[in-house]
Amino acid sequence: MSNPVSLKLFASGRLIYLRWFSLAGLLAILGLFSNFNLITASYVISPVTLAIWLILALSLINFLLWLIYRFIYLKPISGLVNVLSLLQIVIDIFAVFSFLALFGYLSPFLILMWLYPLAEAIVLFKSLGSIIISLGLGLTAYSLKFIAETKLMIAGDTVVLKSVLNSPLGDEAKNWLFMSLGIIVSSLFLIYVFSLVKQQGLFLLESGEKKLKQKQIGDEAWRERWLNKFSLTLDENKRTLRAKELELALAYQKLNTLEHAKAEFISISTHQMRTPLAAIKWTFNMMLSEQLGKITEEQKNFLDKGYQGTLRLINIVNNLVHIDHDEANKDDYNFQATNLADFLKDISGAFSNQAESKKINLTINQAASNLPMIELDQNKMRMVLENLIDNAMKYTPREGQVSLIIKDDRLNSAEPAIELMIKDTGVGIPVDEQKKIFHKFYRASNARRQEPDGSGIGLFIAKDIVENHSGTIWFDSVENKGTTFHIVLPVRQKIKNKV
Amino acid sequence: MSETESKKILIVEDDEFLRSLTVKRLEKENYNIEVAMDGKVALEVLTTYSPDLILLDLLLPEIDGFEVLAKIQENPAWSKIPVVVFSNLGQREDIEKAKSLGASDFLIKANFTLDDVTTKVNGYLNK
Repeated sequence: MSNPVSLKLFASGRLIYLRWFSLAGLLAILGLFSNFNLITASYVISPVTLAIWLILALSLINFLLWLIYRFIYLKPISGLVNVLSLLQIVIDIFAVFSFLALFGYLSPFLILMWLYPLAEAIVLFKSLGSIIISLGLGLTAYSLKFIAETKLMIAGDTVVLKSVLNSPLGDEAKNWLFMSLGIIVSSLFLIYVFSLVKQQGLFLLESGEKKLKQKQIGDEAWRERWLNKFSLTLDENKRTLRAKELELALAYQKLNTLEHAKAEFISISTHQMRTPLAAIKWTFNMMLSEQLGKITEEQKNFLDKGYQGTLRLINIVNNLVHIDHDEANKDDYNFQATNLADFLKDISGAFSNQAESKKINLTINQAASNLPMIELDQNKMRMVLENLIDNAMKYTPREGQVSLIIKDDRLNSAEPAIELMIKDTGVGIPVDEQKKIFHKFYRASNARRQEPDGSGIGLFIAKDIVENHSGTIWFDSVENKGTTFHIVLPVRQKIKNKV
Repeated sequence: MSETESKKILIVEDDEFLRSLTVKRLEKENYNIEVAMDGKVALEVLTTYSPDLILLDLLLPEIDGFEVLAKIQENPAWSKIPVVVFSNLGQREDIEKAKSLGASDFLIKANFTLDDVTTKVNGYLNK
């Protein structure tokens, strides 16, 4: 860009043209004036000599300028200029040739002047051309060995060119000259080959670098694409997560609402059910206790069946209420100091008619009379005891025995306690089913056979309640002999808080 | 005019059948009975009738049992009367609430017979 036009001009092919025309012109002039005996083998400056000197000088200047242009401004050479450069070299070869022909005898080292067109060729033509040129030069120089004289016809006249080899130097010098020339040529050739290889290597390196760069760019592009996709996926996931969170929150809300609704439903329905159940129970009770007039034995039996059914139903409703409050329900307990004997008597009273109709001997035994009060939730313990007594009555055949025993366990255990035993002579619990008796909804096979009714919940709840009293419940049973349920309740336990 | 010996009971119960049964049963014990079928009526009756015991159901139309309890407690003329809550609600919260509002006792109807109730009432009135 900062290339002065003048330099470009000089380095361009125009100067070559100039020299060409000059040469042609001069040779024409020489031809015209050939008769003036211009050529002598002396130092007289003849027109030919002058011409040759001019050509050489111009050529040198041209070449130098070209070199400067090429290597300082690093501009490539165009095709046309290649042709001109080739012609330039030819001219220079001719110029050097002529010079040497005329003055070669002066010194054998003048042959080194061949380096000038050779260098030119290499610089200008980093290719096959320069090989040819240098080879050609070498061959020419070599062939000079065999040429004694060379005649040059210029426009009719003869210019006798004395071969440099006819100089007074001996064969030794000749050999040395040709050897050095050979060395120079071969080394130049080698340099050229190496430069070619280097070029090729550089070219390969460049293309390799290019490929690597492309790959890097490709990689980066790929990485960017991947990152984009990844961040898109992340965004998507975030959105999905948020949506799911929302869903979850809604589901949780719904669950809570449902739970509340369920609790309320059970609560309301059980409480609603209790009212008519109470009415039925009272009616049966009043009739059974003959407050509405005397009744026959048969009537009593039937009424009692109804009464028992009602009791059972009330029990189930009570269980429902209790089951719903499965979680953390120590707070649901209302402990009151209770006299167990009276409590038991009260509860078993409801079974007196049933005992009578089935001819079962229902008894209460009390080990000692001075039993301490136990803190009970009366409603809940009532459920447990009613359940156990009911079971005992259900599964004991006619003329069996059901005994309710209160034992004082304070003497023989670390913690003072009272033990309740409900002992029957009933069908018992099969050994292989004993482990599961306290499980929710479990009913032993023989129980099911005997009494298709029954939810199987009773014992599960009984265990829960007894444990909430810090007590224990277990049983002994022999099939077809009888079962004894034991409940141990500690005396004056403190209400423990559930974590 | 009833004898001053005869104790007076106010029964607040919305279910007709249960109410009539209870009344019949307690009349046998020679008690003087007044009834109210909801909370509003109960409070009205209390202005003119001064019972020795109140049997109070909780699930009542108009004003419910808890409110009645609260009103009874607020009024110094009534707060001395023992109130036995007689209901089919049975959760711990209900019992606690009733107790905190001044109920002396809490019975679940379905768990007792009328005879049990009578025994309880006798216990309160024949100290």
